[in-house]
Amino acid sequence: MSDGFTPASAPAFLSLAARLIRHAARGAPPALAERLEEEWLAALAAQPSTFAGLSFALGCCWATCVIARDHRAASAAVAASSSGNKTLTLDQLRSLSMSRFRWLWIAVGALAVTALLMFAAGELGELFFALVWSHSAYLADAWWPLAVIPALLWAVGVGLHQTRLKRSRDGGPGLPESRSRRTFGLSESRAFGPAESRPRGAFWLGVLVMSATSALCLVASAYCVFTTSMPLAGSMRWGMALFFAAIGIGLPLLAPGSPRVHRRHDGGTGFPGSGLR
Amino acid sequence: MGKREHEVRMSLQTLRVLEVFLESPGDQLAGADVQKRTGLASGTLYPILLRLEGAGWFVSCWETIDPAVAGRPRRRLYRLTSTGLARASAVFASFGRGVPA
Repeated sequence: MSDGFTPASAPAFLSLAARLIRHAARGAPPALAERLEEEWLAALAAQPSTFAGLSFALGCCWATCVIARDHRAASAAVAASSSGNKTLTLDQLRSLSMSRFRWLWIAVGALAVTALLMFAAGELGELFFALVWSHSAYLADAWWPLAVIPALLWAVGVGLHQTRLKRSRDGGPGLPESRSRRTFGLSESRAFGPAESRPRGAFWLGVLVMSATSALCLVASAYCVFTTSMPLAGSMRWGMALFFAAIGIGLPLLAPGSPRVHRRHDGGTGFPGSGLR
Repeated sequence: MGKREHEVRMSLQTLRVLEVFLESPGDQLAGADVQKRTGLASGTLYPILLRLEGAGWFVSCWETIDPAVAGRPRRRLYRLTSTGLARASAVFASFGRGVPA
C-alpha cells in the first residue's frame, strides 16, 4: 500500500485499520463475528492504499451496525412466528431500533464534527490561540460557568440516580419503588433487566466525557477570570452555547436509564404487545 | 440468518452488486473484488452480501489456498445460487420491461 502518507506512518494506520476491523467484528452477531473478522482482514490486505484501508475499516464499523440490526430483526421475526404471536414485544421493538448507545455515539460524533468544522472555519482556532498563547479573557464571559452547571448537574444527578437504582437492585434501600415508577414509568427490574445492561457502559462514557469537558471549562474559566477581560465574538458565543446545550440537554436524554426515553416507550399508546417479557 | 426469506429489498446498490455477479454467473467473487467493481463502500457492500446470502441468493465459502504459500490471507468467496440467478435475472428483466402504466 502506498499513498500520501509517509512510509513511517503507513504501518501505524494499517494497524489502526486492523484494530478497527477487529473491534467492528466483535460487535457483529456471535455466529458471524469470527468469519467477518477474517473476511474483512483479508479484504483489508487487498486495499490499494492506506487511505483506502482506513476507509474500508471505518466502513466495516458501519457494516457491523447494519448487520447486527438485520440480525436482530430476523431473530425477532423468527421468535414472533415461532410463538404464533403476530405482534412484537416492547423489547423486540427496542431491539429493532438503534440502541441509545449508538445514539450517544452519534451525538458525540456530531459534536466532534461540529467542533472540527468550527476549528476549520477559524473560530475554534482563534479560541485555542487565545487560550494558549495570548492569555486573553476570551473564555471569561459569564456564560461559561452557566453552561457548565447543567452539565455537572446532569453527570452528578444521573450518576446518583443510577447508584441508588443499583443499590435497590442489590437489595438495599435504594430508590423507593413509587419514585421508580413515577420516574421511569416501568418497574425497575423491567427497565434495567438484562436487555438494558449493555448500554450502561455508554452512560459511564457520557459521564466521563461530561466530566472531562466540564473540568476543562472550569479550568479555562478560572484561568481567564484572572486575566484581562475581553468580549467574546457573538458567533462564537452562540456556537459554544449550542455546543454545551447539546451536551447538557442531549446526552441526558440519550443516556441509558434516561427518564424520557423510558416514558416514551411506556407511553402505552400504539405499541401492540407492550407487556414486557 | 436463515434461508427462510427470499424477498430482498431492491436498492440501487443491491442491483449493482447483482449486476456484477450476473456478468459471469458461475464465478466466485470476493468482497474486495465486488467492492472494486461496484465502487460501493464496505459499510454498504457487506450488509448487502450477507442479506443476499441469508435470503439464499448467494452462497459463500472460504478460498482453498494455503495462506503461507499464497502470501496472503484466504478470502471469502461469494457465488450466485440457481435461485439467486433466477431471481436476479427476473429482477433485471422486470426493469427491462419498464414500469406498468
